[in-house]
Amino acid sequence: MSAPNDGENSPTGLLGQARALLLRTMTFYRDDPRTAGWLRTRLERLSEPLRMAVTGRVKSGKSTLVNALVGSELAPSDPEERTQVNTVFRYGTEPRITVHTPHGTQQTMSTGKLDPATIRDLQRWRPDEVASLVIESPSPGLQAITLIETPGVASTAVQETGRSALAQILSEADAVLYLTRHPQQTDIQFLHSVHELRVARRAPINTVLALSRADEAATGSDDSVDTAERMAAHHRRDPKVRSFAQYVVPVAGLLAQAGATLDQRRFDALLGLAALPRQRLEEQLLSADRFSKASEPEDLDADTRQTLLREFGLFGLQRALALLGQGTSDFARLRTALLDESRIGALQEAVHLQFVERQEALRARSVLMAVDMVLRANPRPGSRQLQGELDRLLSNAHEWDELRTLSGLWSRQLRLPPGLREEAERLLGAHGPQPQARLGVPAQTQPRELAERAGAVTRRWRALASDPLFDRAHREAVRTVQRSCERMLAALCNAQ
Amino acid sequence: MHNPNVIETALVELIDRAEAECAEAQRTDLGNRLRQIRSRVLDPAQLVLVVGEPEQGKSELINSLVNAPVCATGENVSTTVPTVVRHSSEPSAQLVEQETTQSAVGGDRLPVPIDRLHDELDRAVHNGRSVSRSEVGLPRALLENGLALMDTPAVGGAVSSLGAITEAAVAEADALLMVSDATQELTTNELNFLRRVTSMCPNIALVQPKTDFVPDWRRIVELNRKHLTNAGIACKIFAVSSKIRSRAMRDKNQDLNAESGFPPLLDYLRKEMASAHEQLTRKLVAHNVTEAIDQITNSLREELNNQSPRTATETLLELEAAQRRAEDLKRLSGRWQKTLSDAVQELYSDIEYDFRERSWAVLHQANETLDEADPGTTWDDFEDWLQESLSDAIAETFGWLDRRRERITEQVSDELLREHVRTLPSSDPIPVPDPLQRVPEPKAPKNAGFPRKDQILTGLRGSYGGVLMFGLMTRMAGLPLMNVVSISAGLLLGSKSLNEEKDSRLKRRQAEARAAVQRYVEHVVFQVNKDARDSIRHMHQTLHDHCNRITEQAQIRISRSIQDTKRMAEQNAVDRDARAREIKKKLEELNVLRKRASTLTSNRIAAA
Repeated sequence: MSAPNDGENSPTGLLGQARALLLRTMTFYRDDPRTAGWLRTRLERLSEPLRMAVTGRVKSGKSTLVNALVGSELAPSDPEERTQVNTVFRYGTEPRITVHTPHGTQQTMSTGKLDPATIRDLQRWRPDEVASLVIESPSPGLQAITLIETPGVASTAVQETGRSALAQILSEADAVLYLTRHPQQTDIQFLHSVHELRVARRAPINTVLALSRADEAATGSDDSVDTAERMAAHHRRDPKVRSFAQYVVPVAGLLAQAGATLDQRRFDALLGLAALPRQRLEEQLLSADRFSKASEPEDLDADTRQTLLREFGLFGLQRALALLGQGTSDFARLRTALLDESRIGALQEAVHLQFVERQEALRARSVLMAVDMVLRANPRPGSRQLQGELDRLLSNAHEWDELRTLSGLWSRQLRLPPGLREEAERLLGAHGPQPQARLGVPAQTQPRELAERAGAVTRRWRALASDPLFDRAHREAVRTVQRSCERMLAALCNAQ
Repeated sequence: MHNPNVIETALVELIDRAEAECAEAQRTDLGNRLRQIRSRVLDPAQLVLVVGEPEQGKSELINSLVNAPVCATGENVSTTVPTVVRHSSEPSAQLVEQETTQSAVGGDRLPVPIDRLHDELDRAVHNGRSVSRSEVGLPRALLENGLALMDTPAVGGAVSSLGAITEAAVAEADALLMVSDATQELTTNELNFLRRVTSMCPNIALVQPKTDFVPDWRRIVELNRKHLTNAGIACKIFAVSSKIRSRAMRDKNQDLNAESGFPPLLDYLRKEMASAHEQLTRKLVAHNVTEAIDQITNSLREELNNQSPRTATETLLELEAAQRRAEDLKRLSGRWQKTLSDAVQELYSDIEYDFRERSWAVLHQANETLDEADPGTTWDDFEDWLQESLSDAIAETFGWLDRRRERITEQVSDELLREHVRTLPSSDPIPVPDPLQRVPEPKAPKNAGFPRKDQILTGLRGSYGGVLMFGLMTRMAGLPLMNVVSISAGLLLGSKSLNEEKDSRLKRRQAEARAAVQRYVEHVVFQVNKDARDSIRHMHQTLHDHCNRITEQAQIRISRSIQDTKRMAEQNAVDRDARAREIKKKLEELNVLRKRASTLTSNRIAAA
């Protein structure tokens, strides 16, 4: 019996076992170059940054959010939904664009500077001409995570071929950030279809739902981001959403982009606007049309106005000017305030907590999903043994259960009494996978005492698991904690 | 201008007739829709439904149109109960409770203070009351002509049942305002929804609010116009901004109001809809009646087209099939009868040969034994052996016969099975008879014993001749008749003749025994043959009866089906003609009705 969660790159951890299974499957299919090659790419990905797909409804602000996450304007945004191609944004020392065609050839363009217009032109190619775009950029935001931008769901531009490619890319990504303005039937159907695969169903731990364009919620009034926050809290409790997304966050992508790309020139233009009398400014800010046609202050030319409008959005401008009016007169502080209001920090934290921190479990999930797909697509004599191995791993993947329960506790979907909650988080490995951290005792505690304490908590949680006052979700959570305790106890006893 | 009442009456009459047709065609779905339309025609209000996906600003649009916060907007407030805003001299609000239908009229009304409408609504829904809608009355010029705006639950939201409420309400609407905000183009879902509802309510306008929010709204509107044209949906597009409108109302600023995009929309509602109410109602009636009649006509026409030629050909085909089956059956029964009789004939000859061969083998052995042994002394043993080997032979023969029987049964069944279900005849295995009982036992050979008296006599007879012969010869040499020589010769000859006698007796016994055995075996063969033939005949009879039964049943079935088909064909011809006449008549009637409906839209006088 392996110790639970014993550290990174341990051969006995879930990822280690999954990798071993992947290698065995590769060896098993070595005479089938296509399958083996496909599996090899999966193996290679284990040493690359985590892959996160950014997808969602049409015009839900995918490109804007990608820019906000990367920290520079790479992805082009356009009022018209035309994107038909999956675009991969990943870290590279040199800016570079690689075009993959469906026939397997690729063409590399090394460009000195990445221009959104070029990328936009490439994104508008039909899926039978361009399979995917890989854009490499030295942005630090991409070092930990690779982003995959996909065409929108329920788009009039995307044809059926594009849709299957979409489903494919989602099953290839380790994690999914799904954007929607408001969860609707199509979103739920789509996410359900993504979770149809067996392994995906076993571990719905890889999706974060972002209520994007939060600035537009409640029609752009001042507190609309707060409104979005409350809406997110509401959806977090919705069992339909919970069945496939373990976390819901609001985000105002445009505001975040504005904050991330704010520079001195734009700041000066904003300062000029803020200096206008309040009444005049309000009139300008009534509508986008009015703002672009306004003539005050005179030194603000039409191009800059358009740029500001495009990059900030009307709501962004309103917020920025309100902040300036309230006395935030310094460039860095405005930037921080904007980023703060956009809730991009919360989203980044969610991505970090839910995905980057748990990349082992997510990668294991991707690897097992790949093995499962290969075994089911090419069954042959002998593959049954691998299948059995896979089943064993799947049913023993207690790490996934722990993650699911933890995110439930963090997002307040699960409400345990305060003392119990902290203990549950600790036991589930929130502070570290070692028995000492789980039990909350000093690191130099003697193994005998550890075992005794583990035995005590196991007994207590076992008793809790039969408490009739818990509903089903909570009972399951308590069982997961109980199982964590039992695994820890077993490991400790084996070590002695 | 005609008297509107006359037109109304004409419309209602048209609807009633169409509804009757629907009822006759058993299309309650169409009938229900027409009933809704009927209540709409009688209701003076022109119902304009505000529909759209969630969070597009439907409620806000209504609030801006009537310039009052009558519909709940904002965070987490999704419209779950439709709100109807209509004209009244005093601001008022009511909750309408209704059990089933979504009709805009009727139901229990519960007046509530207008400023507490949302709270009351929430409370009523919370208490489990079936509030079908809330109604708000406002003294607004826009609504004076009977315009009623209805805020509906979102379509395509996470709660699909709410969308269903809206789609049901569409059927009785005079017009639809589809709301899709100007920040993005129409999605496939919205286009699909529009396509679905145009068949129920052809008056649609697309309203795109939130133009204040994005600089590119003109481009979006253009794109949507393209999408709508591609989808074949005819509708006007209004781009509006509620925010500018509310500002304009606050500041009483006409320029701002114009900028908000609301005046054209209000104009559209006021003029095109309010004044064209009659026209709209006619359009609605015409559209729905035509659609209902078309559906009935289509199904009737289909029935007419399909009915007559199909049944005739089908009857013919059925008859042909039945005849073919009868012929098949005839061929089949000939085949199995031949198979059976051939097999039985063969079996007759085979069985005779078979047992004869076996009995010959027994006889041969018996003869060999009898060549060596003295039947006089060994007869009892021999008889036992003979009967035993004959019994064995009989058992073997009948075993073989049974196997042959099984094979024949199978052969014949195979012939039958090609056409009929597997029903093997329930034939018992042929019992092994015991004919030896009935055959008299072989007679033991006579003179088995050789009594001493006879032996002495025979010996004496032989020795007498010898003594006399040698006595006479030695008398010539001067010896007396009874001398040593003659006596010893007499003894010699006597014993010789005794031996000879014994030998010949043995031979005779053996011959007798052989003959007896031969007779016995013949007898047994005769009996066995008879038994075997009996068995074969019995088997033949059983099989024949069984097959005959099957064939007869099949024959009965076939002839019955032929009769049925013929009868049906005759009856069909009668029914068909009647039905066809009926359908044709109905179609003509429907055609007249349809023409009247379609003239509603083109010609004002025709309706009256």
